[in-house]
This record gives sequence, structure tokens and C-alpha cells, in this order.
Amino acid sequence: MLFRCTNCFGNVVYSPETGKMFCPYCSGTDTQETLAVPNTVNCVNCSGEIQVNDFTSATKCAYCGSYMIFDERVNGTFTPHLIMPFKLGKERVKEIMRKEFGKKLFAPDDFLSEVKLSTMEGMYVPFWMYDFDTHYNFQGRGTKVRSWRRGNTQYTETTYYNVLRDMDASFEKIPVDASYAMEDSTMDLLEPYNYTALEQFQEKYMSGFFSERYNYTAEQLEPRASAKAQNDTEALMQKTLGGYATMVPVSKNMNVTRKATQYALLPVWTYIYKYNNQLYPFQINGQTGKVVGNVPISKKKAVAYTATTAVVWLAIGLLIKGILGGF
Amino acid sequence: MRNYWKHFRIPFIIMIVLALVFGGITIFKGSKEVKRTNDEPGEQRVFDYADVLSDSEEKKLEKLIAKKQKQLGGDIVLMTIEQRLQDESDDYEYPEYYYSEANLDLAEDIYDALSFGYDVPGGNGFIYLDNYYEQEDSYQYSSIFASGECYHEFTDSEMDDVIADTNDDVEDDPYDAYCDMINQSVREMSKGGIDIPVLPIIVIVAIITIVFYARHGSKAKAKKTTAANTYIANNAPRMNQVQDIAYDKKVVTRRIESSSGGRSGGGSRSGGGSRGGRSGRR
Repeated sequence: MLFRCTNCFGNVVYSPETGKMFCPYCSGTDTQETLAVPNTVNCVNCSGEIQVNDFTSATKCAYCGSYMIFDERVNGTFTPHLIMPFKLGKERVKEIMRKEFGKKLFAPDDFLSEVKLSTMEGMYVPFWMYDFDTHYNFQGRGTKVRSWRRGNTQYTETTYYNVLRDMDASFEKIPVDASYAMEDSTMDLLEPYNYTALEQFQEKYMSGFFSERYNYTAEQLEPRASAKAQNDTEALMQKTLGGYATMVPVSKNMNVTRKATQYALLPVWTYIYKYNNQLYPFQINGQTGKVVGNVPISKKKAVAYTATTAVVWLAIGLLIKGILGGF
Repeated sequence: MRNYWKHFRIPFIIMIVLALVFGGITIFKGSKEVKRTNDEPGEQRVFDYADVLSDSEEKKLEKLIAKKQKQLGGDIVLMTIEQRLQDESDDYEYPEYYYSEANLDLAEDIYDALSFGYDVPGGNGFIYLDNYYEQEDSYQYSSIFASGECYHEFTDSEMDDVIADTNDDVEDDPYDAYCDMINQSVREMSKGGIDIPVLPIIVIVAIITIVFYARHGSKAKAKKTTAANTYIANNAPRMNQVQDIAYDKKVVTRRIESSSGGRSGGGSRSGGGSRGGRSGRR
């Protein structure tokens, strides 16, 4: 599907700032009509060849810059249940990057340059969202220690407890990214998303962005989601066991039951910076603006700044010593 | 590097201002000469009775002393002798200090006898008396006797440092050792103000530098911002059972030894009227 402006035939895209469809060519709002994209070989606008992989569901034509959504990859079994539209536009994300890393003095000079930041692209990443019920029964033996002194005698009292806990936890929409290209740990760090902004899937939100269909099925990724639920359940249980000096588990039984699964597209901005033949990818949560990525370090700048800091402050210290000491 | 000047602007300004203040004070102090008012002791300040200096070295030392005296506002006297100190240690209150005290007394006697003092006889100044004679205890003794304002400016620990440093070098090169002694003594007495040790400055600068590097060179990807209850319905699990049943209790007692009365002892010694550092060398 391609969204075309009825006024100027330009490519209409979704504007995160206004929440509306916007034509960047004639500045029209909600002026779109749709064109079917029958295949993933040629651009429907300029017939240029399109470079896509097996999972690409939305891309940009390298020749005319039109954003296309491949109908066959967002329909049928690939139809997302939910989509979280981009809330942050590119300009806002540039500001966030500058605010986040502007004070990193060792970063290369062009790391936050307008030219480089403009290469940033928005992408809807496929996620599976799992609902789980967990039941956890815990039995353990704990001790509490109390100590006091009377006269010349120190008393230490140890009380032994049988500790019983039974807990039910209901997890909703634990997200697990279904993209091979996206690093799992990075996607985990981008969480959380505010789910109140989730909407029923509509193709229009994808215009102006890249996207993938899921690379893995819900069944394939369930172990990862289940592990998240189990870890969280364990952490919640541990919170109820505070106040003990020691705790020895006697029995631990946890059951995890999958209730439901939903396929969703979540917004992520990606900025890839190349420095010294190495790629430094940055991912930014398209809703909250949380940034995940390692800042490259220019050795030349690191040495210059650090050495100057040491020399300047040493000089200041010695001058103060000289002035106060009367030399 | 466009942020370089911007980032270091304030430290550079502070450094320049301090350098100007430092330079100004240095020039002011350098130009300040104290006028002499006691002409009794004559011109000679170097008395090399132990004959460890050449004539030319003595002249150079005289020249250096003449310059430093004006800066200090005190007489500077260097005397080398090779004199046995009469052993009267048995009658002395602290026999182990006898020779150093005797050498110091000798220094004081010489200073007073020759009427040294920049302002008045017995006034501002100091004498460095280096006795090359190996005393009964196999040591040679050096002493500094300071008088007038110099007595207040030259602390015992500073004198001890000067004597120790001089003794380290005097056998290899007496001239250099005495030059250093004069310069160091004048520097110590001209100080005033607060003496800040260098080590804490270096430690603070090292900490600032490490914090600076850590702040700007950290490569942390991001912090985890989800909690265990982030995806829990209503943010909390449902607790079906929470029981903590005490089934046993043990009490251990321990007798605490009361501390017995300690002994405080040792004596402190204060000597009246003794002014000056002293040290012996083999």
C-alpha cells in the first residue's frame, strides 16, 4: 500500500507530531488515497527496483523516496493485532540525542551533527506480547536475630520460622521482539512502553517508516517470555521475604500458564554511526524517547581533555598553594 | 575539538587570574628590601675554620648571603669548625642530647659574641654552625641558632629538615650543600601563610581527573527501567498465603570483659631557652 496525496500526488506519511497523515510536498493534511503494492520487486510510484529481505513489510524507495507497505506482509497471518504509532518525530529525537550525549566530550565531532543524525530512520519492530498466569508456592526456613546488652552480658536471640507463601501473579503483554536483526538485550532495555497508546492495527501509521513482519512465531519465542515472567515472579516473591537474617528454601513450586498472545508493532528510531570502521547502533524508543547505545570514544579527544583537566587543576592547586603559603 | 575552549574556559580563566596574582606577589616580595641598622659585625659572614671551602667558594657564598640577607632582613652566618666539645654529659640533665645542645650553645655564643643581628646586636638572623670534629660518641654535630624575627619564622622541624638535607650533601660537595642550606633557610622563613602539602593536591587532582574520565568515557548502554511488577495486572500480585510461624528460639549469652584501668605514663620534656635545630652525623 502506498499513501498518495490527492492534491499533489506526493507520498503522504504519518506525522508523529500531529498524529495525522501529512503530505510533506504540499503540506496537506489527511489528503491521502491508497494505492495497492502488488509485489516487493518494484516501486509503484517510480518502478525503481526495491531492495528488501524476506521480513520487510514496509520500506522506502531508494530512488523516489516513497514509503511503501507490502500488503501481503501485513495481511492474513501477518496482520498485527496492535500497533503503537510513533509519538516522537525525527526532529524531537535529534533533540533527545543531543541532550543525552551532548556532554559526552570524548564523542567524535560529527557524532551529533545534523548530517549524521538525519540518517536516522524510524522502524516498527515486530513484537509478540504474552499474557501469563503464574502461581508460586514457597516454603522455607528463616531466622531472625535480635541482640542486646544488659550489664556485662551480651544476649543474642535467634528465632526460627517456618515461612509459607502462596502467590498468584497475572502478567499482561510481556513484550518479546520477534526480529532477528534487533538485539534482544537492546530491545529489552528500550522497555517499558506505555500500552495505553496501543491501537488496533492500521496501515496508515506505517507510512513514513520502515517495518518488518515477525521473524519468529509466538511459540518459538515463548521460552524467552516465560523466563521473563518467572524471573519477575521470583523477584516479587523475594520482596515478601524481607526481614530475615537467613532464608533456606525447603520447596519452591512455580507454574506458568500462557493465557494469550498478541502480535504488535512497536516504534523504534535507529541511528547507526560509523566510526573507525566500526558501527555504533543506537535505538530510541519511539514513544518514550529512551535511548540505548554505546557512545564511540575518540582517543585523541579523550587524551587531550583528560590531560588538560589534570594539568589545569594541578596548576590551579599549586598556584593556590603558592599564594596561600606565601612561597 | 570545538568544545575544547568552551569546556575549559572557566578553569583557564581561574588559572590565569591565579598566575597573575602569584606573579604580582612574587615581584612585590622580590623588590622588597629591608634596610640594615646594625653595622657592628662587619661584612664577613662565612667563617671556614674547618677549611672545607676554597677561597672562591667562600667569596661566592658571601655574595649569595649578602643578597639573601636583604631579602630576609636577617643576618646569615655560616661557620665551619673542627672543635672538640668538652664532655660534661654526666652532669647534664639529658646526657644523650649533650653534644647537640653543647654545639647549639656554642652557636649561640658565637652569634652573640660577634654581635650579629640585622637590626641590633643579637637581633634578626641565624647562624649555621658545622662542627667537623668527631666527638666522643663518634658523631659530628651541626646546629642552627636563630634569633629575633628569624626565631619565630624558623620552626624546629624546618631547621631539622635544613640540617638533614645539608648533611646529606655536605661531604660530597660542601659548597653546593651550603648554597642549598642558605636558599632553603631563607625560603622557609619567607613563607608565612598556610603551608599546604603537595600530596593532597595531587590526590585531589587525580580524583578530579578520574571522575572526569569516568563521566565522559563511560560506555554504559542504558539502564534497565522496568521493575518486577511492570507487566503485572494492577501492579501487584495476589498473595493467597503469608505465614511466618515461629517454631524455635535460642538465646546465647556472652560475658563482656570490662576493661581494666590502663596505665598512662611517659614524660614530656620541654626545654626552656633552647632555640634551634640540631643533628648529628657520623
